Amino acid sequence: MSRIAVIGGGIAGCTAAAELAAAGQQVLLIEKEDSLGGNIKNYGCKADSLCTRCNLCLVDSVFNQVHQEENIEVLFDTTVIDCLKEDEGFTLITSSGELEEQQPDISEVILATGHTRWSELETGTPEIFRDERIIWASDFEDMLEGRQDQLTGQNLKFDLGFEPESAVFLQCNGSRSLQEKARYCSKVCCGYNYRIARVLRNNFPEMDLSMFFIDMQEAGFLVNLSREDLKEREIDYYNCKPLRLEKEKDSLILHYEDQQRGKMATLETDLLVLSEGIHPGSNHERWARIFNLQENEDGFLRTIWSPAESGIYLAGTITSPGDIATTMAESKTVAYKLLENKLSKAKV
Amino acid sequence: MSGSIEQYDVAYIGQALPDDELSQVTIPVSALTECRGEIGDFTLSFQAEDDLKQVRASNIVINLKHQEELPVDCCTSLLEAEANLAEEEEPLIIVQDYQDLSAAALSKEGLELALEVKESNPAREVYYFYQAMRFMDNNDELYEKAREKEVIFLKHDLGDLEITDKGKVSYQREDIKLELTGELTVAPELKPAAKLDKLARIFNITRGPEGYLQVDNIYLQPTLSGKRGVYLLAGARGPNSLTYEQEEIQYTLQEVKRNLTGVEEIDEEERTVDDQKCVVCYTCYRLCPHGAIQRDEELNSMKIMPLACQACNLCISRCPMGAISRSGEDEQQPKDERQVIICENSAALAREKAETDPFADTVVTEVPCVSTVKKEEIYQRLANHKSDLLILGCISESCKHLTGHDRCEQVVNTAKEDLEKLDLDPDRVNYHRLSPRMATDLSAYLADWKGEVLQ
Repeated sequence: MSRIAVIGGGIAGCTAAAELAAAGQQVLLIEKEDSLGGNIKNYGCKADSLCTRCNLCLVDSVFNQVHQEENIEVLFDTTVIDCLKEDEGFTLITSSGELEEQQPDISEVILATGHTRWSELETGTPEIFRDERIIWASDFEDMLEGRQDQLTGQNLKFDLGFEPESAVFLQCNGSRSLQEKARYCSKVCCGYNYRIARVLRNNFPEMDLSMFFIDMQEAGFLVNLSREDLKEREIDYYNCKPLRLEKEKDSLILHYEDQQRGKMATLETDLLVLSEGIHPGSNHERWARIFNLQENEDGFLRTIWSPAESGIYLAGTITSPGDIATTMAESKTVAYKLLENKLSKAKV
Repeated sequence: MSGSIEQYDVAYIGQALPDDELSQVTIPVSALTECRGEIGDFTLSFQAEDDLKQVRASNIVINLKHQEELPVDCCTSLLEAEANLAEEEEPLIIVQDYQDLSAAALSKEGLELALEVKESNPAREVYYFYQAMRFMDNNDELYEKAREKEVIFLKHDLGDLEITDKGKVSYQREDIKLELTGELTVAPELKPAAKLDKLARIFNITRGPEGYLQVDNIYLQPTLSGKRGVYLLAGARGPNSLTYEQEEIQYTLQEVKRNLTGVEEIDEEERTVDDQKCVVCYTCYRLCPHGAIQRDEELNSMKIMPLACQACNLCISRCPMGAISRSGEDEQQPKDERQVIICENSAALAREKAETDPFADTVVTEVPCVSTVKKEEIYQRLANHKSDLLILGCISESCKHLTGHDRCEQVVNTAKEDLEKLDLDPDRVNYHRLSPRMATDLSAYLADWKGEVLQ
């Protein structure tokens, strides 16, 4: 029996695979690492005293479903290096270590290889970032995964070697800037850092928290960020991107333009948290070549041919930045669409 | 009886969606009077002229427009504005975020309008007042283009923007002072669609804090409602529903189609209401987060709709007559060991993620939702045991069954009060909340909890 190949075992690939398998399809899931989960594998819960709707609660049951589903075969530590078009369907050439293999009888392919975070890109990380007081937002994930504030009642432990009394979140970093190779807005970082700020506020009521935005975005299906909300939580809001950073022994000094007053101003902080724009995955050129896809201006992929004809579907952040909930909903839709097309093809 | 009623794949309350595969019926919200049945076979009653009509539908999609409220008089709504392409002299003034920040869809409308005007009439001045440009689809591109075409963007949280009743716009900040009149287009504030209270009553679903039919719950994304087979779009769904409108429509249509291929019960257990014990007090009807309980007119008893039921067991634990039972209820006497009741959606997942099983040498009962726990069960467990009882629910507002974790907390609190009244130790029963990603916290807590009792 022919199989549907899903490339990428993150939340997009796993959601689609689980949906297809539940509908009785045979699925071959190909993951380049040794476990499922992709980007969000080790993310931590971002609730303060309430759920902040980061949607992580939804994902583990999906990964479990993939593990348990008999209709899904998972190949770990495997990448796809080529795709051969057959009379019917495809044969994928996969590589695992030294081993190259053929995966025949693939009827359709769902490509769900996700994105890269700005911090993962080697390019353009200036010297200034090698300071323990400047961290990426995702550096919080380890701290959040190990948090012990809900049951044990301890405060969040900073993994920094010092206890900051203030923190500044710098939004639109790795986005909306040609120098940072992303002219687009990544859309998710506002909500991401806002949630982290809420956890910090809950754990450290005395801490000074500030956020610099170019434009504050919506933070997902259910969360609408607003200045009032930030004010209520005593998170200071700055409507600009700082222009210069000065490193003093005791603090970091951010120089920014106070546009309301029309002059330069400074803000001191112990900790600077950089948001991470979502950037295209590293293999997009290869996918474009072997699956006949097109890279858009920003490097994300889109299909040239209708998936109903080509049999190649795209799911998740391979097409554009997106949050967990959107990704899951879209991946489900992709799986349903595939099934629908398959069914109508079978009728003909 | 139902055999003679017409059956459709989907019933739309409000606006129908374009799709030629599904058989559909559209019912105006004002005409709808009743909904019975469950996913796969709803029966909807509605007023048609002077008659009461009925139709059957497998799925229901509530697709109603937001109500719009303009923050100022004397202006056009951005959602209704048509680009005026005539050789207009006076400037076009677009304002968004006048009170609250506008949704991304409104930024899109505003940018498109600004561009259309600028492209046909480059000399005309276009002012765009905003606080935050919100992005979706190709808003980035539109924004960039609009800047190139010299649309004047001004952030009004950085200055004072005032619009008078007569449509005069003044903007002031340190280096800029503007007094403008012109064609004024303002982003409306989006409010829940009209008559949602009525729909909430008819479908027996809970409304969220802002009045939409979707409760702010992660398990209800993107267009699910608390009731299986009932989907929510646009002004019925939430304030941000226009941002992903196309995606949400696609998702909903595909869900409807998938449901048509068959829907299964959520688990294999059978839940039954004993019609001899049921006094039709409607407690279960009111409590059920999934609108899965209806009244059986013939038996004069409540009944559980098997496909709509999401198996949280809340009704069973709360029925004052003990009239509801389930086939899987275990009657086994607990052993004399430490006992923990955990929710399968949080603690059970955290347990799997932990490196070593935090529940080793503990009797663990995994439940679909902690709302399963009855007060009587707490007493029984404490009476039969020397050890304490720990119940672990989900983080506030992240319960798959919407209210289950809060309901359980209420049960635990009354149990504690009762224990105190009887001069027994209320601390023998503990209730905590956690998320699936709190394995570290869980392990640390249990290690500690064990230590405490050993002393």
